[in-house]
Amino acid sequence: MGTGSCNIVTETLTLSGVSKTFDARSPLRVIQDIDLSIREGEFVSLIGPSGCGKSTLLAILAGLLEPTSGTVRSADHPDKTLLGKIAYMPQKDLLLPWRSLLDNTIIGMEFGGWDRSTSRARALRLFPTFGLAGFEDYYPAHVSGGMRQRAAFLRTLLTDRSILLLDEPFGALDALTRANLQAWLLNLWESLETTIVLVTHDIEEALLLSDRICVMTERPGRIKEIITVPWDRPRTFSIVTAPEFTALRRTLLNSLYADQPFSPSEDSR
Amino acid sequence: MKPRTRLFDFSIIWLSLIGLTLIALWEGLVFAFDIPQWKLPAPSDIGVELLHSKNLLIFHTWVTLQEIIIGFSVALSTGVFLAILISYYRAVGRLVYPIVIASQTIPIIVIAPLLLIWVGYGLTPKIIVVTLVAFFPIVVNTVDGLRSVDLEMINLMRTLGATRWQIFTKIQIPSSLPFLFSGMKVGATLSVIGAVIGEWVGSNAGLGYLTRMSVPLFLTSRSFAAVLILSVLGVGIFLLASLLERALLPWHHRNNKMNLDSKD
Repeated sequence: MGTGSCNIVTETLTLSGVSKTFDARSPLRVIQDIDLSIREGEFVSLIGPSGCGKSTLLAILAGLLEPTSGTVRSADHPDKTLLGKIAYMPQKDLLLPWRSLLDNTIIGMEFGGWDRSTSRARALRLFPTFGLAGFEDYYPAHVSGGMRQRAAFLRTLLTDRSILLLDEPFGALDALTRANLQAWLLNLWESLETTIVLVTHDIEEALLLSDRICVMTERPGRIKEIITVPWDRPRTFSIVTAPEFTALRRTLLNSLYADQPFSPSEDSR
Repeated sequence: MKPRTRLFDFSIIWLSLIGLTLIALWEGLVFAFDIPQWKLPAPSDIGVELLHSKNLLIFHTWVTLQEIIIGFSVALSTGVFLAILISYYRAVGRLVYPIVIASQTIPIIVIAPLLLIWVGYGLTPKIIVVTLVAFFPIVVNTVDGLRSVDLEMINLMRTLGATRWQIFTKIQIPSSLPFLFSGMKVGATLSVIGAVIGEWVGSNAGLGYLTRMSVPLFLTSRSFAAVLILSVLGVGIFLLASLLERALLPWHHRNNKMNLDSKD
């Protein structure tokens, strides 16, 4: 991922042998033996078929669930739980309907003890970057889905955590808005210094945005392979039409769906 | 479908027309069958009574209104307090909530005369009756409202670093407000009934007392007049609560009417 200078790569989040079993009527093993090292400032995507446990894995990273076995270790917070230390953005924007867009974005800061006026000023400065300028006082119900998702993202970002977990953040949007937001995120990420773990079912999204892609198997989800995305940064959205992009996309499709009947991969026909 | 944005629209005209028609029909029937006033007063008789006994009616209305207002205020404050207690302290809730529910199973018509023995006459027993009938819908609705928050929302707030108290005050309480207002609207109209029951059981003032005392005196039109005022009070309180809801929860009302996203 060369930038020319000598980067000391620090591991910021390490998963060792993480497994999770839910005790339903019969035990449901969702993920198994996940070993993954995420480096500081890296953009990692998790892709996999439905039900492979990617959201569960993210919930574990967020500190909302305990793994049944294995450990998650964070370099910055070695002894404590990760809950409240890692920023998490779920698929639904979950904006509070009784607060304006501005007041929604500052809620993380309020929890942290910041006073309202300082928080508001800080958030307001970022509104233009997030394409929300002029909509500060609107209720979430009166703005579009894309704007709500961006507001939710700003809310996540304002908590100033070094690691961001994004759970299919653009999944609920239509294709055009999604492409728009992917390009926007790609651009934004260049200026952020955070580590991002993205869960998505969209292969192109993963290829466009990530440094590395972890492909997961079906349930119980294991990491099948980890693909390093070869393109340098800064990237532009135009890369999606490059031939290398399509080639890598084919590789990923095969990797994801090769073992399944009726699959979109080339190998099973 | 074009969203209706006003509280009063054309249906008020229809309602008035239907109302006026019924009143005219009533007047006509009384006239046609020559029904005596002590049996069934005509609307005109009720109107006359309202004018003649104006001062009397105002006096009794004020008594009942006091019972309603004070009783409902106590119901609202204790109801909300109990709901918060039940929801935040789970162990306490498991003890208190069943007691609250059990209190409702004892018919108020039995409790009211007992209150006279325990508390005496005057406004106090009626206020207690009003409180007893009005606080239950407030508690139940508010508890449901506080519990109505999705787990994913709570989890999200936890990842944002919220403490349990912060989640309770900044998420659960605002979420519960629409529910609280529903409970308030029901409680407010029940307050009117509570006041009347309290007065029926032992009173020498108030609209409920008036309706009861006018019957053996064959002053039926006075009785009807009092009932009319009671209805107006009930509707008025309900409207007041609705307007308050509109004012305090602008996001809630609009939320149900406007829909800008095709995917929602």
